[in-house]
Amino acid sequence: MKIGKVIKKNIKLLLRSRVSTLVLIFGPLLVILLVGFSFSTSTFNLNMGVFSGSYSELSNSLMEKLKSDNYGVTKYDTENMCIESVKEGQTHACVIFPPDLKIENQRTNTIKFFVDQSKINLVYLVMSSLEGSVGEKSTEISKDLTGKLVASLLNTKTKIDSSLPLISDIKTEDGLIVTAADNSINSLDSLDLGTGSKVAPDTRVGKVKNELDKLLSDSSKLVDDGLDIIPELEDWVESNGTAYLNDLEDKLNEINSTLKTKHNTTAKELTLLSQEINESFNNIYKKLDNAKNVNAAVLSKLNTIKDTAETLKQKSETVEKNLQDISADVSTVKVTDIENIVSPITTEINPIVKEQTNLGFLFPSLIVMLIMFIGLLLPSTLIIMEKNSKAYFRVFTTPTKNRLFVTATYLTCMILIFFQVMIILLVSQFFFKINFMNSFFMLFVALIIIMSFFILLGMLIGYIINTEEMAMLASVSVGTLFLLTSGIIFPLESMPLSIVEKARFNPVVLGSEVFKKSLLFGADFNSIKTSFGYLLLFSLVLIILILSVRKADKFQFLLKKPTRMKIKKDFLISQFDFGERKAKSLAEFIVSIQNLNEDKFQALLKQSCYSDWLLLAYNNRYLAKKTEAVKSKQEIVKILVEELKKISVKK
Amino acid sequence: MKLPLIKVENVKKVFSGNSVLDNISFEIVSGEIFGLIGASGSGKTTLLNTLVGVLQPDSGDVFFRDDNIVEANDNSRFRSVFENLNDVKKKFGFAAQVPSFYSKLTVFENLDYFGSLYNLSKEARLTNINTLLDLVELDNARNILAGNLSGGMQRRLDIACALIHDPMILILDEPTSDLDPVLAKHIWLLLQKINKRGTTIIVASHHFADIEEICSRIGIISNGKMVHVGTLHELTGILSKGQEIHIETYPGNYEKIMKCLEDPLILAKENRGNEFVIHTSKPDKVLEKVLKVLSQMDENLMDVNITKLSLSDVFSKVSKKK
Repeated sequence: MKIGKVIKKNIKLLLRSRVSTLVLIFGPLLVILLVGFSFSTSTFNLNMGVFSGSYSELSNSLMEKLKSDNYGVTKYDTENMCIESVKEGQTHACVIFPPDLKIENQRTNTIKFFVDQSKINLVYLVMSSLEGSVGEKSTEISKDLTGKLVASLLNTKTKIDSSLPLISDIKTEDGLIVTAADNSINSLDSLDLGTGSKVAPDTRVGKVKNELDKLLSDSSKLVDDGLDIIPELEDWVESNGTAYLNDLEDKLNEINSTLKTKHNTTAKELTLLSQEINESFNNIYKKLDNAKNVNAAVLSKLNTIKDTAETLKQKSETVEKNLQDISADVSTVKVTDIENIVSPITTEINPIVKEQTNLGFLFPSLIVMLIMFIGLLLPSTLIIMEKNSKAYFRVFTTPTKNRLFVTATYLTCMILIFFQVMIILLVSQFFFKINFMNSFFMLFVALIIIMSFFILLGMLIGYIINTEEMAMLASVSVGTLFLLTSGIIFPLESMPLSIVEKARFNPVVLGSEVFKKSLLFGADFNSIKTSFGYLLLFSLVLIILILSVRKADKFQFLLKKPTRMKIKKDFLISQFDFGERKAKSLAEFIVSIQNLNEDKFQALLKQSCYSDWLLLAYNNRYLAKKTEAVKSKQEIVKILVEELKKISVKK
Repeated sequence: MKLPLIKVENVKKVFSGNSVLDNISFEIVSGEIFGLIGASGSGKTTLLNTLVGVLQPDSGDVFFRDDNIVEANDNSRFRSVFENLNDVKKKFGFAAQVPSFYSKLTVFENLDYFGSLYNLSKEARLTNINTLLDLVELDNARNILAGNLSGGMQRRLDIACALIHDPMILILDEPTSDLDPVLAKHIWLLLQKINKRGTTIIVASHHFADIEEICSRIGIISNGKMVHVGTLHELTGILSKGQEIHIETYPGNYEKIMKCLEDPLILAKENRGNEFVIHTSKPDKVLEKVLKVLSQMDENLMDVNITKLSLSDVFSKVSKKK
């Protein structure tokens, strides 16, 4: 079949062109492989420079944390060296720990990160990774501190709760104190420490003495009386015997003497007693006075104590109330879990499909992006290769319809891109665990439509543009435009509304949506039919444009100036010999003209070969124009020699 | 008279106000090798492109004989090239000035591919390829990438590509333009071989010597006009004063010798410095007379050469006439 032959030929040409094979076939596979590894969940090899004026346990533990997260950690001696290491690309970021980093009151611990903002992607990656690692440690510390605080709080509450009955007891006992104080005051108030009318002990002793004196005088008188009776008694005694009387008399005298002695002694002792009593009284008075004073002071103090006790009671009540309030407040703190306090709200991004790797979520956009670039580059390159191929003319001389070549080009690209995408999908399935077999049919349809659009667009570029470089530039430009307005690189939301509205129809956006829904969500046809519709509509427009351009291109080819020019240029070059070879420089051209015989010179002049050579072979429009009207060999040689002199002077 | 295979009638083509083909008319007869010569830019390539229908003329037409049409009137057997492009493409083979094939395909693949574009069956393609490879002597190179072939081989491959569908007419534009004389010779021999197989050949070239050697008829095109068409003999007859006798003598007193040579058979004399040239239609008789004169004048004959008027001379004369 003719179309099969054209496709086979196209594939052979592409595969046999090393550059296109490398760029178009293996390039994308390499890209997906690299991107796959980059976006897979595997760790990054990031090197961190660190510096601290004085490393503490905390800074060391942070460094250990970085190491355990697979960061390379290099210590630098100075902050500058650390920053320089980022500038020189030795490290990806420099981390400056404050000296003696520790968690203390009144101390701000700021860890500085120095990153190279020119490597913006790396910066976000580094910052994100560092924030992760340091944030984790920071959370750990925060948890620790919060744990302590919460424990203290709960402990306090427990103690408050246990103290409240004590305060009640204190209040009760305080009441008792007040009562006791009242009672004491009353008792003390009622305590009579007055000495009253004080009788001098001398008087009483004097009275006793007087009584003693009286007793003595009475005794003496009694003795005297006895003595007086004695004579009479003598008489009696003379009658009865004197001895007895004498004896009585002696005894009375002795009594009298004893009385007197006793009286003296007693009087003396009474005097002493009186003196002692006086002293004692005086002491007692003094003490009583003191006791009075003390009583007054005690009363005053008791009153103070009473007042204080009352105040204390009031305060106890306040304290009790406050403690009850605190306890109630603490009781209202329902969240005591440290995790919840440190991170009261935790964010969790849940994939709507089972996560395999990071690549899984970027994969649809990545595939569409890849299809876009290959889809734009492959057909345009293929068409330009065909257009610039020597065989292009022969194709025109064959009885083959235009549509066949268009279809063959489309199918060739479709086969190649499909093959590439299938390889990518298979690689992704096995290496990155992206499952595409579940929705293979929808995915297949989606792929065909997405690929069709970009292939047709690439073909249009190929048919419009004539050089490979320009085609590549146009393809890359169009691709970049689509990419920038697709939301893959910059969020669409950050763009002006007018662009956002139009970006909805961006084939990359439509394609990504279709692919994403097919691959990740296993969507049915209904959910992607709108995007399908747009892509099909765009493809249809492209087909019409391609056929029109191709028709015009064919017509243009027939009138194609470049080919005619090339033929003319080849002819012109062949006409001017310089020794064994053809003239290349202006000097060689002059020599060649001088060597022409007059006939040949005139023949070439008639065909404007000199000005044409200067225009086409020497690429000097000015000289070509200048030599257009020359009539003789001398004239043209003169013009050219002058020009040659100018060039020499310039050099 | 033999019925022509192609009839070109009053073809005109103007590009950007310049008349590239100016009322050109001529015929190509079946089985002949028709040479087309002209200066660069004279319109040869445009004329060839018009013949195969690649270029549509502004006026005039190109007709080809369709042997499938059996009509009493010979004129009715001719069909316009431009109205029957698909048929024309099958009947014509074209080898452009620059070899036209895929350099990244092998010789065999190129032939097979172009054969398939002509809707040839696989068997027909294989047969044609084998025949052609044998004809163009590329059998040993069938699996070599075309881009790796030498210049002569590439040219032969190009011709083979043009012949893959076994066309009635093979048109070649400057087939030896970038080849050395040896390779060019091979190509001319090849064309003769092809012609002997029955293929009518139209060839445009600067190589006048070869054209004059292999072409049965020659057309001279100048500034878009077909100034002369005929056999070489006819052309030289029209344009030349007979043959030339080039004589070199010693001491070489050519002015004196030329004065002594007065004869009605001598059409013209030229002193070219190192030799003198006599134009005559009867060189044998004139040469006898020249030898007598030389012996009388004590001139030693160093070299003598009798030349026919070449195609190049004819072309120069045509150019000068203009």
